[in-house]
Amino acid sequence: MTDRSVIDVISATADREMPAPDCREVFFPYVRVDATCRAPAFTGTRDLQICCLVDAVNGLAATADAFETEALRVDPQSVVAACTDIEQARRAAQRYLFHHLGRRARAIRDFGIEVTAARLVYKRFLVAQSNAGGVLIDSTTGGTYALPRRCDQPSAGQVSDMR
Amino acid sequence: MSATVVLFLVLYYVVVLGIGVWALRRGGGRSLEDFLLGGRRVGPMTTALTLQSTSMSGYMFLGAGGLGYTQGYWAMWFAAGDIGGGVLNLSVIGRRMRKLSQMLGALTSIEYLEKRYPSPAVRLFAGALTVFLLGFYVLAQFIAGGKGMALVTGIPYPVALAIAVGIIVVYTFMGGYLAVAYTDFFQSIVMLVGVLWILIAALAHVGGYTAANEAIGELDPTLLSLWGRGLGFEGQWGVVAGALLIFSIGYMGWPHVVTRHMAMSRPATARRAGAWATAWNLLFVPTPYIVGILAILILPNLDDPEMAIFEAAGTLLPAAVTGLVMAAIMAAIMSTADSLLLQTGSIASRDLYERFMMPGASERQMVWVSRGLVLAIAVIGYVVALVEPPTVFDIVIFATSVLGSAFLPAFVCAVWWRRANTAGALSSMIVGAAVAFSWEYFGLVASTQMHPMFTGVLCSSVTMVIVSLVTQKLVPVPRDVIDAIDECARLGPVPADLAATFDAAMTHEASAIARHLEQGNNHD
Repeated sequence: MTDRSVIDVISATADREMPAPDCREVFFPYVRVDATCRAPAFTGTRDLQICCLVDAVNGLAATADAFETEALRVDPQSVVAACTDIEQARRAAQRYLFHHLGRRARAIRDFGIEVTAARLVYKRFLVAQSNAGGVLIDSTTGGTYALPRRCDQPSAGQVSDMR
Repeated sequence: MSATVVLFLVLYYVVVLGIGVWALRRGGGRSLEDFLLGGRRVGPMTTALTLQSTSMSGYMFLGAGGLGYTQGYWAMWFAAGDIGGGVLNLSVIGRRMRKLSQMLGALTSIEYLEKRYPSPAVRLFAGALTVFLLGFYVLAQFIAGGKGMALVTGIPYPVALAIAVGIIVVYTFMGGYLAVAYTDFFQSIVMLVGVLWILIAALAHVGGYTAANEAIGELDPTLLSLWGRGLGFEGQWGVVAGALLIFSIGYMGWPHVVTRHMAMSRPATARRAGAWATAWNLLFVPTPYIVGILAILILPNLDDPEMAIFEAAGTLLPAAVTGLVMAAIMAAIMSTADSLLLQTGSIASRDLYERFMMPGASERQMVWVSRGLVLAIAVIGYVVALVEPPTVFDIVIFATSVLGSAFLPAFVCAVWWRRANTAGALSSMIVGAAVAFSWEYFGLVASTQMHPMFTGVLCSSVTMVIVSLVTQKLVPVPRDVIDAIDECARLGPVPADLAATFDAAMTHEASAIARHLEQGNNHD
């Protein structure tokens, strides 16, 4: 498969309903942490709602836009196992938000971060693999990433599984 | 200074505040949220100019001008290194550090060092050293702010210093609207225009560049040489190397500067920001040094050479312009001091207090630790700046030399050398800091004709290589760290058509999914 073909595969997955033959779905775990905080405003403070996603494999946190979820029945083999529990994720989110808000607002202050909810969610990624290489596609943003070399060469079993 | 200067100084702050309010409101009610929570995209030009304006202030307006005034064209060695420093820093470690810090899950540059070189000792030493040296760096900003405010308002220096320190501390505690990136961008433009305006006015005053050089040559021809007044540095290549290195590769060893790599939105932004930063540097960096040199003719009997640029502005520019330029300079000094204090507070609370004294400390406790440290720095800084104020140049050179010597090999090898291990990094930091500190403290520059930055970096680099190689079996680099470094070194394969959608933020998901797929293959 050429680079052009990889692009075609990615294009074919645009409707996200029917993965193209050479693509496989992978569901990646995150802990969605919803929180509130008091942000500095021009006069006084303002209450903000924050959505934070904690990568449930590596424990890394990042802010995210609010999003909706839906329940799906999927192949268990396509689900990456979570390694972080909810409590760890809550702490990681609080720690990250404190750091992030302080840096953004350039202020040493108590932002009054309070976690209101935390639950495990999964995001769909598409993996397009070929002899030319593997490409990971974020089904939400359309962002792509060349996969590390170790899974670039699909085994015979893997190819047959995908088909 | 006249009332007009003060009036325009106040007017400037009103305009800056207005820009901050406008920038946050123009996108509707969600702008504050977007700004604070990261949804906002700032372009490469704004990113570059914001970074440059907040990292070059007290030193450039006092230290650089003072050096040009006292040593003539010798000062241009520092300018030459500084012009390329930003882009060199971004090129050598920028993209790789961004990726590696993300993969290791580090929030601060000190935490990053501990995760790359796993040992609490690395974090303890790096954190304590950084807090100590950034305290010195803040002191330089306090002195610059105090001197500037005294000149602008005409109030006595002790009072002006107290006001400057008070404003900086309150600004750091409160944060908010004045921290908007567009405000910094506006300030950087005013700073650049202002400094160039002073240069043009100075050149006009002395009858042009050639006439100025001829006049300086008549006063003291050695000022026209690259060896300093009285040829004091003639043939001292070790000192020249240090002057060139300090602001070129030196940036790569500053924890408060490299931490910005970890916050870059995209590698592509960093590349273009590097180009903008270089363009800005070409215009801005040499100018204060040259104004300082021209001030030898304009203000021949200055008591304090570090006031050369401020005094030249007051002498040459119309009162209204002086007010605007001085206000921009003061705002930039405050902005830098604020950034340094935030970094210092963050390292003290997160990397030292939470890590070693109170694991699981609450947000409120961390805030009070940070604020306590900032207040301590403010009080100590005020006393030192009042009782026996060192020059801004001396403080910045001291802090920069020790920081660069201690951390440069650790940060560079972290992403470029898989075999750099904990023992190598720790010993390199200790040796680099000790050598540079001793060189400065015992005044070894004159006797050895070697700059502390040069000897410090040389010793710390050699130590890093030797100790890492000798202890390779005893202290191996963990497998996951080697994997992360390999992943950072990997540029592709990214097909050209995919480059537009390439998202470096997916690095850690990609690694985990690759492992998941690999395990699936093995089971098959």
